[in-house]
Amino acid sequence: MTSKLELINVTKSYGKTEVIRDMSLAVETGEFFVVLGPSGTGKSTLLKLIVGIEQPDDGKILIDGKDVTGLPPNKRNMAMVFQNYALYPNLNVYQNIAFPLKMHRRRNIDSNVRSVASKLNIEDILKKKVTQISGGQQQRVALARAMVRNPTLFLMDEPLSNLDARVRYSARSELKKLQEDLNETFLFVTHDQKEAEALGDRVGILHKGRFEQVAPYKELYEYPGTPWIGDFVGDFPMNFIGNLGFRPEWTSIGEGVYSVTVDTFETIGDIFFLHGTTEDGTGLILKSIKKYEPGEILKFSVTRSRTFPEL
Amino acid sequence: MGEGTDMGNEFEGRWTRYYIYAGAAFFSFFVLLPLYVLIIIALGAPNQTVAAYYPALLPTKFTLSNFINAFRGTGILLESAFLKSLETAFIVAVIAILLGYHAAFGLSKLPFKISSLIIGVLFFSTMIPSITIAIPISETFLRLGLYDSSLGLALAQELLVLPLTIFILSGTLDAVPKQLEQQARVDGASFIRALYQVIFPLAVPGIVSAFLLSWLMSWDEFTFAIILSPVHPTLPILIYLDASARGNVLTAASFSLLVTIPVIVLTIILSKFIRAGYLTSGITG
Repeated sequence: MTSKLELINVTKSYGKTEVIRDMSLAVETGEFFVVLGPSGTGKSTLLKLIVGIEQPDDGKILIDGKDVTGLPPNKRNMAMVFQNYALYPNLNVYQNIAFPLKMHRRRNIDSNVRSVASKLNIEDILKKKVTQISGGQQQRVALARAMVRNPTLFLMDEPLSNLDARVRYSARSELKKLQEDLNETFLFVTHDQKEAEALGDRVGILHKGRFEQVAPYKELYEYPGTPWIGDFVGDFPMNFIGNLGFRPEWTSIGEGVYSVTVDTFETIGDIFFLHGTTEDGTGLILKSIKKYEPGEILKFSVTRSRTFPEL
Repeated sequence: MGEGTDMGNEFEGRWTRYYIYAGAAFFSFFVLLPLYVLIIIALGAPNQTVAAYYPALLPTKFTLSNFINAFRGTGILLESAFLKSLETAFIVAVIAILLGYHAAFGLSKLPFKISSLIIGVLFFSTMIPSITIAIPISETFLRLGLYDSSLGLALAQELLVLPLTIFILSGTLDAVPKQLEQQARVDGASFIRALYQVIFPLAVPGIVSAFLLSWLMSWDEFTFAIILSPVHPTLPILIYLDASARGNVLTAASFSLLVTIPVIVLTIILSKFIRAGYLTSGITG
């Protein structure tokens, strides 16, 4: 039931706060689309609008070209996985997975539940209470409940952020593999750049209720559309000298027209990152192959850069 | 009920359970002692209880004559009063839950400031003395044919019961995560199915508490009962009439036991629902 999702000029306000501003977006059939943004930028609101928990003030939401704006969530046949999984605590694992099938009055409930459970390796916990299983298992149960009914669209609200770091990495790669196997359309919301980088075919950067740029992660990193994206995307923010933006690794220390005073060093693996200040007080982060003493003044050149229009 | 079975870990130590048992024993003593006295007066031979200079702690002779006397004195009235009280209490509890659940659900959708204001206003009706309301109501009930009926009495008692029921249930519903309702809607449940098949089961502990409490409030309610239903009185009224007319401690004790037993039975039956809560409900038992 893979489908295409389109938003056309969608607007949503709570009181006087405009949370989603005139947003348009097209998520292609079978695409893994990641919505990335800092907290409080309307990510969850966007999901609620798409799934129908909230209604937009203005604009349209289309599934495969069909207008679903105004339909209640139970008429949209989309699946959603919340951050805390929202498993029904009074039902066991089996009943949780079977719930959407019962609500949609589907047949062959038992065989559907069992086949999804075997796909996600949770057959042995079907009879357990959802409060008795681990976080990783809960996440699988939530996924199983989402998959079981063949939805038009999978919506995920930071489903990995409640997991322990170790489980999170394996869950992340499993999720990517699952999406590739299912070939379904996924819309995944996160504030975690690593997740966006690992999962997304394309990543939409949400800022102040709008997509500031939509592109594959690598492109966002190398060709940020605005200084704000340059600042937001990446382990370290982009360096700016005037309207010239450059990544820490786009520099070479030794010779050059720029100079920087060393403040501190950060070591990540066997790479050093130099935190320094220029003469006019701008903070910079440069990649370095060796350590320097704090206070030392170094020359460096910029090997690659991106020029932004003057603000 | 279920003393301390859900204690948080930070309170748990080697002796915790013994402290809990000691506390439970202490409080049980205060609750059970009067009940014990009631039972031995009602069932013990009078010359070992109320007629004795030094009543025995545990009577050796038992009799049913107090009960027989009590029943003989009131005759058929007692049975009908017992049934009427039972009927009224169940009507009150059922209506309270039906109206209260929906009202509380509506309130849980409102911002806290507004919903707490509304609940506060609801309690105004309980601030007016029952007797002030009961007299105009009785006049209206006479015209409507509700006078002296269980249904009429139950409706009047809702004035006392509903605010508390709504208060308890809105506390319960506030504790049900909003996301579960949203998830249910996404999973294909209509609003009605989400309301009854998803949220209702989660609210069961609070609903049972509210049911029990409203049942109890009706069971020993006096003012509305004596004014709105004097011809076929409820149990508390009958006992009052009998005790004030006859002034017999022995029959009064038998009656009191009769009032207490259904309360205990109902509480025991319902307590397992209250205890089996996945979510904490504001008030239990």
